[in-house]
Amino acid sequence: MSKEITLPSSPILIFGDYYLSKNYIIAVKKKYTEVRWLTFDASVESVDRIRMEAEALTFDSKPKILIIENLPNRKQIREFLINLSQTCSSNTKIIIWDSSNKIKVDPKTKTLNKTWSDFLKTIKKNPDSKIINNGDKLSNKNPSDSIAFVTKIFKKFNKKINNDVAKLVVYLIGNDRGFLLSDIEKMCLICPELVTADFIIEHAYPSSKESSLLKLSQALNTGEYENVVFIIEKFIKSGFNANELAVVMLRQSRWQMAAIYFKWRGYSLSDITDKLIRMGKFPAYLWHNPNNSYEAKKHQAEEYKDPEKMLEYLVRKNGIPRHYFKLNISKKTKTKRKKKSNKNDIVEKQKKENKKQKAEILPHPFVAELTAKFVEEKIINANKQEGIEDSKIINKAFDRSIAVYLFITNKLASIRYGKNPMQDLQEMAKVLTNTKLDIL
Amino acid sequence: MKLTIKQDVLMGALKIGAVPAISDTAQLDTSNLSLIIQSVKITVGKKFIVESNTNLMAVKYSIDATPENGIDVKKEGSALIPAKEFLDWVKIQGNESTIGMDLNILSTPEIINPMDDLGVSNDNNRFSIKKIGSMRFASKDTTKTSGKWELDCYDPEQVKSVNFSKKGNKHFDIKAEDLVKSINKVLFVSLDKDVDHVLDHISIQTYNDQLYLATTDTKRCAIFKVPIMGDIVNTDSLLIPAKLLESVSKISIKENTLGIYYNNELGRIFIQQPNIDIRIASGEKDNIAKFPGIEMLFQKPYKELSNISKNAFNKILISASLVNNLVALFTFNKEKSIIDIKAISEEGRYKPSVSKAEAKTINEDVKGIWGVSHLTEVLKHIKGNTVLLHIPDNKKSIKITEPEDDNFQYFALSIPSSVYQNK
Repeated sequence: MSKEITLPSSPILIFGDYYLSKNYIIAVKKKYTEVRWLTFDASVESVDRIRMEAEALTFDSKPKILIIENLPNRKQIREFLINLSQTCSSNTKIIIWDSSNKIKVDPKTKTLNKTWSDFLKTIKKNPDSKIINNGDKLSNKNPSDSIAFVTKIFKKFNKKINNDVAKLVVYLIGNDRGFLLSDIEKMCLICPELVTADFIIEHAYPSSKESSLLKLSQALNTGEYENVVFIIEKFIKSGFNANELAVVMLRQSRWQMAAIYFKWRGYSLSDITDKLIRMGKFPAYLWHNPNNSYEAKKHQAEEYKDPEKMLEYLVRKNGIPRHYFKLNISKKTKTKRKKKSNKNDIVEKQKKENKKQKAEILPHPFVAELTAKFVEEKIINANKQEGIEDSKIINKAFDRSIAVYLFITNKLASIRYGKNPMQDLQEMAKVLTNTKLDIL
Repeated sequence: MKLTIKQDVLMGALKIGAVPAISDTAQLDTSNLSLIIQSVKITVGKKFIVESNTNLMAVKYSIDATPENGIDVKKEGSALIPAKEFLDWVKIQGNESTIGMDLNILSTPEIINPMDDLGVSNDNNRFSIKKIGSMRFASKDTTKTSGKWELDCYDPEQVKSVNFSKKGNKHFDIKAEDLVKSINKVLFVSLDKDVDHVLDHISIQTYNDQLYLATTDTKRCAIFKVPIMGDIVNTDSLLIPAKLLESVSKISIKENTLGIYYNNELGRIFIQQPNIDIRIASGEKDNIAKFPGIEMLFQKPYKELSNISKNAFNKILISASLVNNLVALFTFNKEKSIIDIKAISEEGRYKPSVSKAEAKTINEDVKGIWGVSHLTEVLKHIKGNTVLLHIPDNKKSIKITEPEDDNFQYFALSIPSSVYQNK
């Protein structure tokens, strides 16, 4: 005689973040191993088939759990699912999973549209039903949501993380709740009680090329040549282009040059960090206003991101004559007229061009902190000697930064057109990590 | 190793001995040892032996290496040759040709390390493959058409030969052609793939001193009484992957008798035929119990419900399947001797359809919901012109038999679809 199995409530409707929903389904599958699991794609499979599989008798009388995923936005399917969940026997349970994210909460009104809201209401009428909302995908537009999510998960594992480090986690891993959850769960097995940025850079699994390259930046800031060469080799083996790595080093040398310039101007370590963070950000009067918070500056600067608005700002607020600018807004309209069918391509091209015209900014505040620390500790403090004035060291450091930058620029050209990129990269690393100044 | 061999003899041997090496399991293998798994081992001495194996199946084919058998051995030896390429080349040489095989051995074996690209250290040569040389082939036929080719050969010592003498307990003997017929009768019900490894297997069970093959997809069950040679030696049930048993039926020589053995320790089925040794994976012991017992179906009393012409029944089933291939409402009218099938689809594309056929006999008024495809599929496996339908008292299933062959029985469970309630 077969043992009695406690089954989950039915129907269960899951919507929201894909990976969290998938994790839930995997967890339920692990819990109920003694049942027969049947999965159907509601957009492809016929409803007759789903009905047949749900209601057919079986020789072994094993309970069945049907996962009906990929809901189409079709009234007929919604009505069918409601009917099926009402007519199924107690031995058959239904999990409806909106895997294609059709059920979305409007971020402004925080409600569902009428169609899906009615569907949810009808499902809820069943006293055994369960509705699981895993929340919308996090986005760059609302960084506070992502930070709150990261902080919440670390807190669940009794770990503390500050907002800047949480931001770094999101920068490295991305905005996907599932990826964040899975990576943080793994990191929490070994992380200290107070999570540090160094730990995150060392252990987080980067989801993009750009965030992977942050590891190279961090290695360069340690000033350890062997470590940098090891990372370069690792990146090359995993398919990175030598040119991409060289560009990272070039940017690093440029940031170092800027940091030393600020040092020469007499700024403190924290001021240098702030200056580096603001570097390249427009409009300068907003970003360099000491009375505003970082978030306020970011919010106000949002308005000027559009090149047309930037132009308006420069003309109206700064009084620069309009004809001084060659911003190709007029070209944009011309091209649009010529190639109407290729609208998306033109917009993409325009975006790329606008991006090229923008000044360089640091990818993350943490990078500014690392660069400022590198200049202060590894270059200035490490070369301090009795009887030698600080100003002399700073002057020498400034000379070094220019020499390093010029050397790196030459090597970048050599990588692009030369024959031995690995050797060029190693030489670049050697120069960037050599912090000894010829003071005497 | 050097020999000449008739193309048809070599082709016959490869079609049997190279089956595991050319199976999907081997050909889709992406492990570092795939070159070995995809190769067939040829051994030439007093016997000409062709063998290959995967973890699911091992086959060894051997014949006397004599001129009477079309084999002329000049130098004994052994080598592993890529099976698919070898088979493809031999196939196109034509029946009339004679093939010369000459193993050209390297003075120093070449070590191939498939882990090189991955940068994995391989200090103890655990993952390396030893290439010992190349096999040169030359074919020539009576029309003086000839061809030459060369394939890499690997060290045959790298493959551990299966010990076919550890067969375990004998279960029964069966004529190869009867096994083929039995498998063909029940195979259509088994699933292609089942994560629990039960429903994609064929169960061999005994009941009242008779041996049966059974398959099920949980909603229906096909059972065939197997005509065996002699007595059943061991009455324990066996569970064999359906695809493997189908492969066995294809490579067996039809006129010969097969001996079926089960080695409990290894959990492997051994099948022996003159010149052919086969070892295949068996279903796990726990899974044998998970397969429904056939006595449950045999002990349930079924009354004959109807006797109907296969063609007429097929026609109305196909009409119903145009609307709903999966579920339909069947009404048996005793007085009018008519079966009608009502099909309704929730898809919304087709209107409900009703199709009727006159039966030779109907013994009871019955209304039931069954799977349309469950019934159309079984009709393809019924040779005669008449179908007998049987029903139990609770009417939760239907049994189909054919008067011409009482070895075959098919059971389909009812589908109490709410769409047809109160219709």
